[in-house]
Amino acid sequence: MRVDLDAVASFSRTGDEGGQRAADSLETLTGIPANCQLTRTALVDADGLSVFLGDSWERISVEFDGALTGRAVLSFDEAFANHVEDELGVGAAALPEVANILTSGFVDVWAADDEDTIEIEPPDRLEDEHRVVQDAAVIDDCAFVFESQIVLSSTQGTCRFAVLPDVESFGSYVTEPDAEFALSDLANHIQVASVSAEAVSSHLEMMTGTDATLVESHVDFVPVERVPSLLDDAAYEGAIFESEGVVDSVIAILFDETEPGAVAELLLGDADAGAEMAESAVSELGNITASGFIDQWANALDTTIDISTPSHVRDAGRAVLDTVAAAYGERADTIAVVNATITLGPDVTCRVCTFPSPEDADQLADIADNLAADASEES
Amino acid sequence: MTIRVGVADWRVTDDDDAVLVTSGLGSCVAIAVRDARSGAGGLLHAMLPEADGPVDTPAKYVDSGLDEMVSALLRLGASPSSLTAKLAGGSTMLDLSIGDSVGSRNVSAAERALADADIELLASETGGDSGRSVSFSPSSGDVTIDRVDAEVHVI
Repeated sequence: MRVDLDAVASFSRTGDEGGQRAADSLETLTGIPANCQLTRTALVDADGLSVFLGDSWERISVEFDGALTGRAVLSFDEAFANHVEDELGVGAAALPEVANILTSGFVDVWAADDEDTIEIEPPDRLEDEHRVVQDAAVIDDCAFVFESQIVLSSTQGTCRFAVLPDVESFGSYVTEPDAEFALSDLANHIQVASVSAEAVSSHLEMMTGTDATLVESHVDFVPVERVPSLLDDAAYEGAIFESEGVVDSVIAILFDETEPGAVAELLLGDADAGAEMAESAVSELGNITASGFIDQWANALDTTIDISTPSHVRDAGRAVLDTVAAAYGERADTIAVVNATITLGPDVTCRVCTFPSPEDADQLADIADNLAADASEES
Repeated sequence: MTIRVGVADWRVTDDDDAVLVTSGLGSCVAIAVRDARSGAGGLLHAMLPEADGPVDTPAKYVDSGLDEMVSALLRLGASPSSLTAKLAGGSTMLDLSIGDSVGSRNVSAAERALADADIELLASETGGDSGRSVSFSPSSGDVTIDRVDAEVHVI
């Protein structure tokens, strides 16, 4: 029995409304315009959950129970926390109050369509990072996370508002009736992310001779208009490919340089190498890297997937993803994105975002099933 | 105050000091509309040309997003006869086999929607192959366009 991807999309869409409602509630509380800039339903390797949630100045947990059961984990950065504390003028009490307001706003949307209500518990500061993982709902090492990123006007700060629904509660939204193993099928998609990320990491290391560190990998199900927010506005140098075969997809391999010329230095040993040479080297590296993991997808179904010639880009990360999202936007409201983040030495981070065609969701699920079966045999 | 506008989003203001900003415009378009007399202005960041009937997220589309934003401007006291607009975005950054010419279709849809609403288009900076970030000051009417590796441009 298949996972109902339309139901995942519905979950993601309802969550998107919840994230916006949470932002509106915060705006009412603080008087500062607030935006919900990213919402996504993510499948995250449980061991990497803490990394996925990002570095945090302070985390607060709010449990809730009823029509939707689980907990919210709110991660505040310092700029956001300071701004809110200044505006509300209540010192350290501000963040628990914000956590309460955001969670209430979010769950209101979920309770609206259900006869059951949702009760929320008092906010609880998370002192122990391990509790994030211990409390998460996990199937086959895959955690389900619904995340909204809330920003306030006139500050660079962000609040990452992650909802970790309990397995049963989440499953009731995304599985078809009587589907005994459907949630496991969804969890299998994490294998697509982890296998791809490991392939990318090893190919990058081999091609550059630089130590590659896999930071995290996950799968997002995200409304198309939220896709650009998966990256920031920093300049990325990279290559965009299309794959064609059993699963069509768009693959973005993007390098974020902390220092200008770092990618050219890495690939060519010369930070001042001409733009043309750097462009060619990035495209070549992208091609080999993309082929490396797409071959694994193809092998899982004993078939082949072809890769197009690359489009080179050097542009703001969000503008690149905006273009991909708009291209898919006329065909689907919600799409899956397979993500990997790899660091290459101290100065270069590689982000790989793969967008399987929404029409090929069943084939992607078949790949996930086979990769999960392979992983199970190996362990 | 800086007011952020997300993707498939619009914001309006009548605050003299406000600047509306949106980033990550690839094939999307930003439409800035203002009434110089009332000081009200709004910025729309739309992703696709036209809605096919009623939709959950009107701001995702140029036509329904502009309708919604203009209604909000009128509620702020703007006069329909004195609205003017500026337009940016709609690039073709990638050569993809999907989403045929979304950027240029977005620009055409914006020009059409503004003409249908009888809003004069004062200036535009569209097309090309690079992304844009846009800031709009409703009080001055300036739309400032920022690109990676390029000079800031004001229309």
